[in-house]
Amino acid sequence: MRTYSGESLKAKSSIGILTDNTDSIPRGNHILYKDNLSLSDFGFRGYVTKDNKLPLLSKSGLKLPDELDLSHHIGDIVKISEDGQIHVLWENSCSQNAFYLTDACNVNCIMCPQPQKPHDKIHIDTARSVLDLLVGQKVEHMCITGGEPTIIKDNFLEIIARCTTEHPDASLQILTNGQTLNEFEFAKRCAELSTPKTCYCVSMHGDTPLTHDLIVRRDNAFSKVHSSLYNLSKLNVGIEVRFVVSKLNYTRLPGLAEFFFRTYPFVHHFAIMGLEMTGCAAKNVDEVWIDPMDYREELDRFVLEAERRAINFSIYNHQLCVIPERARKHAKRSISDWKCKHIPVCDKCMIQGECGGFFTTSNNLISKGIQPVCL
Amino acid sequence: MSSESKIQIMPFLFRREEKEIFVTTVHGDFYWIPRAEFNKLLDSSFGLSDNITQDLISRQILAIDVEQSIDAAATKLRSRKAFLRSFTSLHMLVTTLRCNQRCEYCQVSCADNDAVQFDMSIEIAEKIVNTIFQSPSPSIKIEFQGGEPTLNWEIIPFVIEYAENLNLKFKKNVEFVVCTNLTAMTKEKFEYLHSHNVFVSTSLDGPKDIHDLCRKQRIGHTSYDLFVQNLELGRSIMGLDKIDALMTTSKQSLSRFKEIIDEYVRLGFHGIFLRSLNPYGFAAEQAEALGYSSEDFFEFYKKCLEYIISLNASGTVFTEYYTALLFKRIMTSQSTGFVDLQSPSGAGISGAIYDYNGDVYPADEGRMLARMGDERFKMGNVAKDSFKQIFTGQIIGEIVENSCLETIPGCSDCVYSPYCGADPIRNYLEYGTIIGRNPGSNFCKKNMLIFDYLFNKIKENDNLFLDTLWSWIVPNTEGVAHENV
Repeated sequence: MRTYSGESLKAKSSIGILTDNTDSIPRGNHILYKDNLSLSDFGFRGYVTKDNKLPLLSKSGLKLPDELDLSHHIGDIVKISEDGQIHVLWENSCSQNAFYLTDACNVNCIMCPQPQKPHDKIHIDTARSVLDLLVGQKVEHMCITGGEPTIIKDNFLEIIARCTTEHPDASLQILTNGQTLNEFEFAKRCAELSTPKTCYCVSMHGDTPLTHDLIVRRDNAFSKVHSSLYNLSKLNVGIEVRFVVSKLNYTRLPGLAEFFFRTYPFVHHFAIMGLEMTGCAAKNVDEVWIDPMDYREELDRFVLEAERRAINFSIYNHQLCVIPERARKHAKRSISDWKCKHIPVCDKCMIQGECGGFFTTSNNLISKGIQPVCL
Repeated sequence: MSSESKIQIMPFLFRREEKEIFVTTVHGDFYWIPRAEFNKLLDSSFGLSDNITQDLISRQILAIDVEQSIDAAATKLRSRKAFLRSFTSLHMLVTTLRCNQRCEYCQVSCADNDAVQFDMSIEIAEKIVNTIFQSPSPSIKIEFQGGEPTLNWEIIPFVIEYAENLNLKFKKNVEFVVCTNLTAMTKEKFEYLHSHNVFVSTSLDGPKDIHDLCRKQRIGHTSYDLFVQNLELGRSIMGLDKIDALMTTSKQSLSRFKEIIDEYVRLGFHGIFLRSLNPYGFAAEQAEALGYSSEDFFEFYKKCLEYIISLNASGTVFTEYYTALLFKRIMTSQSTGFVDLQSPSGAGISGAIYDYNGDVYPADEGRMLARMGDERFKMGNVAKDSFKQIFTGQIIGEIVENSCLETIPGCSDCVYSPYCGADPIRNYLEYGTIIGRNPGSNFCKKNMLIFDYLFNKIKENDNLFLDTLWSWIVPNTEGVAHENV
């Protein structure tokens, strides 16, 4: 998420809607963004200022460096942390807002960009606070992710229940590795809290246990994903399957569409995803990294077979110039704005506007095939 | 690979081909294993290449987690056999045996134009509809057949309206089809069918000379001109998509494949069903004049299909329905009930036919046999038997029991059996036993040749061929990729 650094003025964290209007009510839900504070500005949940002093009785606030301007975040939900940082938790202009419910996970994917940590309840409190502030607001899209959000079962159910009851018209994506929904009773409780706009995005990185279990580094993981998919289908819940292409599974791409189509024809959307080379992925670069140029043929065959079957699919995290032409129309701009970039050579490209770009987080590991596209 | 020792072999069917062993499974997956690799598979030490091992596991031919593999395979099989879940949905009514044509190959041996003693009565029609609605199937298709069903017209609106009325209570998904040669149709009749959303299934054998060769009017010579005139009339009232046609191949059609397809395209049909002659009725008597071998039919079929694919490649969207059916069976896990090619046979459990007098048969061929004096397949009569007596009797049980390819000698180990079906009454007619004599029957020969051909195209990855067939079974694809032309 987007983060800015300042200087802490009061050591208590706060979450609120960023505002530059002192008339915003209730003040207790808002964080005032104002360069010079006056006495009458008391009562806001927090302050982001260029002043050195906060109004009387204030508990949370930070001083921004002079050059930093946050006016484009007015209306967004932000968190002031104890150490003087601002985290943008909910950006109104962004369609990829997510609740990070935990850093803990029950698998250990070799290409995970986000190494797991023990669960910290603060993530649940943060999600609750954001949901409190979103009550009554128009929300089009929400995402629940982690770590593996389903392992904190009751809290997870509480958060999806709030998402679907407080924002019944919003689409909700739940990212999961499918290691818990194989328990039918749990899947059923999840399904009961779902709406027709809820979609479980389940990771499956191979068409057999040989590949999938090797990648997620857990025995029987594939079989659990399989049962989870069947459970979700029986429960009539929206399903997406996500396949991250790496050196360990790219050879499976040619037959993947046939496998999905015959075995899981009820899946609503498939995502073929490129690597984000940070975290474990960076650590295991020799085992996982493959240049997308080196699986063009395999990807091309996947796209051909998927198109024949009218499979609904997208390609995420791939630059348009390195994928086969047939695949381009399925590529989505999937990298979150805050960690997305283009590189100088892209300036000459005629389709840069449609291209999803690169991860700033990927340690500058880029394909040898990057080149400007001339139409 | 460390997991190799845990890999187990699941049940499969196989056949030797030149360079590979072709493998299929009861749940519909297939794979060509190179011969050397297949030997490694049999040699229990495995050591197959990693990609082949995974290809086989993902198709449930091999398994690491047997429970998961069985779960996947069973789900596919259940899905493929879903046509069994709902019981009889196709109900065919013979409104009369009379016909205004006397087609050379007619399999039902129709009666003269004025033989009104062979007309269905309103009382019988009412009892038939009552019986039909006892079927547990949520979908009901009522098909009017004959003779020429429109000659006893009053039965058609009676059945449609009575069924619509009953359906207010049963709330099934009800469809009506009139199978007619069109020659007795009028503006008023088309308007009536249109107002009740009825489909029309007709017959067209090709250009005028081919059509008239077999499809003869009792009075006068040509039926073609009247057919075309009424087809246009029907289209102007019912629209383009409500009238489809069936094509029957005679010896004279074999060399004329291109003209036949062109005729269908010219007349605005979106597809054709290439049908070989059935060895019953007049066709049996005329075998010498009209008949041909399975090999001849296959050559004709292949030429038709190749021509149709070239038409699609140049932008004419046109389907061969039998190929589309088989391709769907081969490439998907979906249920493809088709009464004439199902395992177990659809005779009785998927479709049934009600004769003009209320007698019920599992298929038209059973009714034919009765006309020839053998009432072996008569399941009952709607005037005196209940739905239960008719549909759970000994005949239907015997047919089901003896038409599961999975258990039939000569079929159970056929590599194509997951995609094929049984025709028990035809077997009885030809061999005196409903199990039949396979391989070797004409039915088997024809389908084997077609399967060989289709699977060869799949193996060769003939892109134009495959793109075209996919566009037939997956209607929301963009059709044929013209870059392949």
